[in-house]
Amino acid sequence: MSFAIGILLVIATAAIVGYPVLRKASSKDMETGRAVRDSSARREQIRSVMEEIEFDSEIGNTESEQYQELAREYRRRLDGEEGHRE
Amino acid sequence: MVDIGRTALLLALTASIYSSIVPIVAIRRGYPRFILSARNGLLAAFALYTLAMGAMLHALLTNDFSIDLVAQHSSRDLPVAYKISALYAHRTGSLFFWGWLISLFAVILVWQKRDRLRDIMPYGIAILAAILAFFLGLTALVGDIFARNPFPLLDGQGLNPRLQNPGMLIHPPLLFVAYAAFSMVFAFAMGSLLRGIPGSEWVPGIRRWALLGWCALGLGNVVGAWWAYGELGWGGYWVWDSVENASFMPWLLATALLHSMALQRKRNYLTLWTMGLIVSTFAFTLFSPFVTQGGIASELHGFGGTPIVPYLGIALLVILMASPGILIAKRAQLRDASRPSSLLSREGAFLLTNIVLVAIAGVTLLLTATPKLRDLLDRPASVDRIWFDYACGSMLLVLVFLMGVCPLVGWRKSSAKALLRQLAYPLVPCVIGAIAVFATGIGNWYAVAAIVCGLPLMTILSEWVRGTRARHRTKGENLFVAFPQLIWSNRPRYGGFVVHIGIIMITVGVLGSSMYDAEKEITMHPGDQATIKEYTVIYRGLDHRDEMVYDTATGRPLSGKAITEADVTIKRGDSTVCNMAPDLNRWAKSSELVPEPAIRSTPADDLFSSLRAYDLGDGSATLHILVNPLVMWLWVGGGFMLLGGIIAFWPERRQKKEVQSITEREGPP
Repeated sequence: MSFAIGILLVIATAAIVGYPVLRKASSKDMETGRAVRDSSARREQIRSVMEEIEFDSEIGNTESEQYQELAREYRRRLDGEEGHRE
Repeated sequence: MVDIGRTALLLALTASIYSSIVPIVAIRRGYPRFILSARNGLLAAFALYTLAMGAMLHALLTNDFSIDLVAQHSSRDLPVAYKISALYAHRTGSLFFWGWLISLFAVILVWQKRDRLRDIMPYGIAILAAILAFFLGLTALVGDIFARNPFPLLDGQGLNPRLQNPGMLIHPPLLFVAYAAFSMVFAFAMGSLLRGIPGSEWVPGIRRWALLGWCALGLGNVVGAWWAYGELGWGGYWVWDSVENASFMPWLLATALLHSMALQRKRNYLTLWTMGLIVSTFAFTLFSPFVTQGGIASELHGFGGTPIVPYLGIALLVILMASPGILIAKRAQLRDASRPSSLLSREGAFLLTNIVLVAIAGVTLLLTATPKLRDLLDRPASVDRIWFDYACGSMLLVLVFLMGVCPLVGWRKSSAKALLRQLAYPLVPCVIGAIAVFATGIGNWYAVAAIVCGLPLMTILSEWVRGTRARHRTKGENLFVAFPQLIWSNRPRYGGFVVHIGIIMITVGVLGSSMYDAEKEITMHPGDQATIKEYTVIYRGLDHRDEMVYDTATGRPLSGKAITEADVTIKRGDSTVCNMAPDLNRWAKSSELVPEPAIRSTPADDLFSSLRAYDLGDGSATLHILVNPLVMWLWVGGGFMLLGGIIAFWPERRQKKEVQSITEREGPP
């Protein structure tokens, strides 16, 4: 019984591992190595950082001059991401 | 079932070796279908590992004492939960359970990030599969988890009585969850580095795995301390034992990692440092079993030398030698995109915090490894606990103080004048409080705590008040709505603040209990009284109950325990504070006497009593009595750390919304 189950396990494992190699390739398979740029997540991240530095400035933790520079820097980055999206 | 389990484990090992090699070859040769095949290999390894795990649990639950693990650590009378925990009470079983968690997390991560980190995936799969293969090799080949017992038994030896505690069901699993989570962080950080992807792209993707690991490890350490306090009978919760240190060091490094990841994510700064911390944290998770399995002697617990130790040592060496090589080779990719204009900035404060955390971990490692190094030089020596207290304790106080300074420093560049202005508001009440404490003579360390712990607490409260007011002003929210909205609006930041409150509570608990504790060990006869601090201890007598089940033919004890209980009354002045009943138990399956201390906990102090010895003839008892101030705050602080971790871990809803709306506009990626 154990031997038969062992053989079945070997066959099942070989089938699962071998299936992507043996089946006909789809275009999605060919995309696997391509860099997928998750631009929306990065935009969201930049926005959340912008909100945080704005908040830091509002409650007095960041000086006005530094806040202006930071805000410009992140605005540039956000514009870059928006440009990439288009 | 055992043969099926063993076959499944060997097949899982084969599949994981396949998945660790094939993606690299497939990328180099340009065979994308083989990457999918390797991914399926990882899925198959998890399914087979789960089957092997099922076979082992079946053996434990059906009392199959033909298996060595079951015979050594389980018995017929053991409650079901402890039967399952017997799995990781075994030297190989602990690695078996940890390896299974790695396979589970690997499948979750690969599935979860299949699109977002698709380009990192082949390398990630290869590294995860290699880690998994290492664990499978240890458990299937070196340790042989399914090893047969040469002498079939009717009953097992049972679980060590000290392990039959709820702590056993929580503490080890939490540590293994943490260690497995750090493997995910390591695999994908290394994968992205090998793939040539800048840190700004992969750090957000694995932040929550790092947070899960940190949270589980922190909570696991607190639960471990609680378990030691309530079970071991010596009245303490931390002795800087090598096994304790082995799980404390990765927590320190993971704390540094979370801060540097935040900085990397926000300011593209400390990329190389972040990568170094990821490697070190992962290496320390392997150092932990190296210690537990006997690589460094432990007075508290451990397996005391197993054949697995050399393999763990080799794995550690490989990681510590190969990783810096990769980091140096890829240093151009790890160059920071931005730098702060001045070290007097939020970035500089984060960096300083990181350095202090790494320094504490380094000193702890040095002191932990010293006895082993001295052994190797044939000059045996032990390191006294006081060295740890002085070296690490002082740096931990600096760290807590820094928690109060960091949020007050602005990003990019700040000035000393601005910092002093920001510091003045929270610091002044703390200094006044410290002077008041000093003047009343409660204790100088409490005065230190008023400044060191008071500053970060005041900073947090002050920011919450200012933030709530700002929301009330700008968004017109009711103050009671504005505060929770403030916390929810920036969960990583304010979750971190809640964690900081937990750390402050723990610091207060540690200072109170280690600087102002009082203890007495006294042999008393019924009716005797003793005084400790403001309490009077009255010993009333012994109660002995034999709850063992005996073999009717041989008279040998089979299960249960014989309990000897001391009846103690504690008074303050004329009023009774509590009655306590510490036990000293003789278990049927254990030769040693195991104490069950009695503890009365209040926010002000703990009364701890443990029965050390007794004489049923004259009714005398040797009692160990302690008054431990503020211990409860350690456990409350642990709760706050968990709460803060959950807040910071909670997914960002807005991001989901945006991704959803983009998908609706542009169609699926």
